Amino acid sequence: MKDRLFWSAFFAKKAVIICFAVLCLFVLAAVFAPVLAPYSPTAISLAEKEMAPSLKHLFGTDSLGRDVLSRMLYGARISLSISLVSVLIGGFSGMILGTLAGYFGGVVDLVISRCADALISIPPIVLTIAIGTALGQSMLNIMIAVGISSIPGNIRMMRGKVLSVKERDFVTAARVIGEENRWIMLRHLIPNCISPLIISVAMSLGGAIMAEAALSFLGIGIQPPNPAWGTMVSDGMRFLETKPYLALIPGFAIMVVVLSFNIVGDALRDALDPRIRGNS
Amino acid sequence: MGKYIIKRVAQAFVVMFLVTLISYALIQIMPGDAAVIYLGSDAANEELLARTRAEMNLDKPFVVQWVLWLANFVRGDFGKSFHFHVPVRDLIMERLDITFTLGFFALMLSVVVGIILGITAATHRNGLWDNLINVFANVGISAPSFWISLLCIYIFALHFRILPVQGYVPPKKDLGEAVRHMILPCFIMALPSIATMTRQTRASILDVLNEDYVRTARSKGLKKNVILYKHVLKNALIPVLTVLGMSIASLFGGSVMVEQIFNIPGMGQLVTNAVLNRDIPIIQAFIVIISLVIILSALLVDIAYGIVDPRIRIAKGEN
Repeated sequence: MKDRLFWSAFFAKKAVIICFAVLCLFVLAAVFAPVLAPYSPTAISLAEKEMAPSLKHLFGTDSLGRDVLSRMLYGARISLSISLVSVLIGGFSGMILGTLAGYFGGVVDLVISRCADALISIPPIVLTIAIGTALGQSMLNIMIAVGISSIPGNIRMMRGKVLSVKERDFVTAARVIGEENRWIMLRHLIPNCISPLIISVAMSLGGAIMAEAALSFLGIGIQPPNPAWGTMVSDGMRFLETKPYLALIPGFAIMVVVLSFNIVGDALRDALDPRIRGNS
Repeated sequence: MGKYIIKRVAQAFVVMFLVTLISYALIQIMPGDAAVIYLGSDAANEELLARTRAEMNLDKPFVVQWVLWLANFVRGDFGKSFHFHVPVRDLIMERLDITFTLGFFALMLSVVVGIILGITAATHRNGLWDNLINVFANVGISAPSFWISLLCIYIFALHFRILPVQGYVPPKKDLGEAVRHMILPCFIMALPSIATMTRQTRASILDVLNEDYVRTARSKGLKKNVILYKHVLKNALIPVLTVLGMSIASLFGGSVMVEQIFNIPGMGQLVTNAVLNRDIPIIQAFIVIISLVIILSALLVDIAYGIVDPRIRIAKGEN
């Protein structure tokens, strides 16, 4: 019964259904890119360069004769994996630090919270760029750079939730029977505080895709010849006057996916909200 | 109120201090030796390398390095650029006013447009205008600024040829051209803030419309507009203040991208080039300056909040 309520609340709006479908397509494209792509994403063929969209090349070819559709499919793969891993990095670190801050309070809380404040006062894109530059360009470093900018928000959310849950009787009981702090946090606090964090992590997926695209666009993300949507936009920029689709198609894809993630994330939050309130 | 302000100022100081620590730590997490990157091929000269390391304080412990760096920073010495080998301060000072001018007009644009759209959406709740504005706000938040920039350049500059493609003209040289060159970058920088501002204004107006005193005003027969502008707006705009504070962060973040695309010689462009050259001192200085602006504006917003809403200063002063 509860599940049916959830799904009907989740799909209450037409826009959510469309966006959910878009995301399904996006994930399918990313997972099955090797099967779906008609050409290799990195195969250069100068004889076929800068071709307009046709049946042979649905989205045309870029300045090196690479098939744009194939590159987009593989680009979806990179976007999805980077955004997933980075929000997990951000979510996990935020969870641990927020729980520590909320549970121990005092100096620990002060240090962690002020550091979170400091991270929040640096614009996310600047922070990502700075960390990306300092660490150097590799897939993992981009994931870390994108993930770090979501840590402070997650810390605040987790800390707030832990502060309210740790006053509850079952936590006191656990403390009275002498359970270790570590166990209290892992077994009692985290499982009871994690739902809003999961929602916020899901909601930050769109932002992570945008951040990765921005990094790649600026040339410090995914390095050529690997296909990334952001890189494709910046490559296509030079041909904006003659072949606008080279830059506009991948950019449009980024926007649609980010928009879908944001709308589905909002719907998820709204659909879960009454249940969370009901449970606590 | 005094106690509250002092507490907030102290907090801002601590946070600023930590920002400098984070920004200095970038040198530490960077693989490789900063002195080697600074010298480039000259690093083979061991004597020179040792001297440079000593000059850059790299031979001292991290905390000492940071304190020395911070002391220099406060005095206005931001170190030397790894790539250009000139003081970072000079590079930044040449470009500071461009970015701030752009940021200022973008902020004005987002406040005016955001609040007007928010009011329109709230007063036409669930109507055509509300839906259109909602779509616009969603796109504004989700669209990557580089893509919107390219789309606008394509439509307005290449297709209709009513605006220049890119570039920057100093206002002193030709005011008209300067404005024409600023329209697109300002709008694109402001877009995400316009979107969040619109959403917040709409949401808080709808909140306030449910309050008892609005019902009272309505039942005593006040005109709709009088209620909206005299009773609702005053209270509804308080949460919008917070969004305004956050908008400043996103505006300056956006400047990095927009200046690169529109080829505007501001701080953002300097930073993008610094990224490609791995010129960390420029990035450090940028982070500290931008964060200073952001922390100061958050501080002002909080103090303003306390002034306009007595409930807040009482609650926070007691904590």
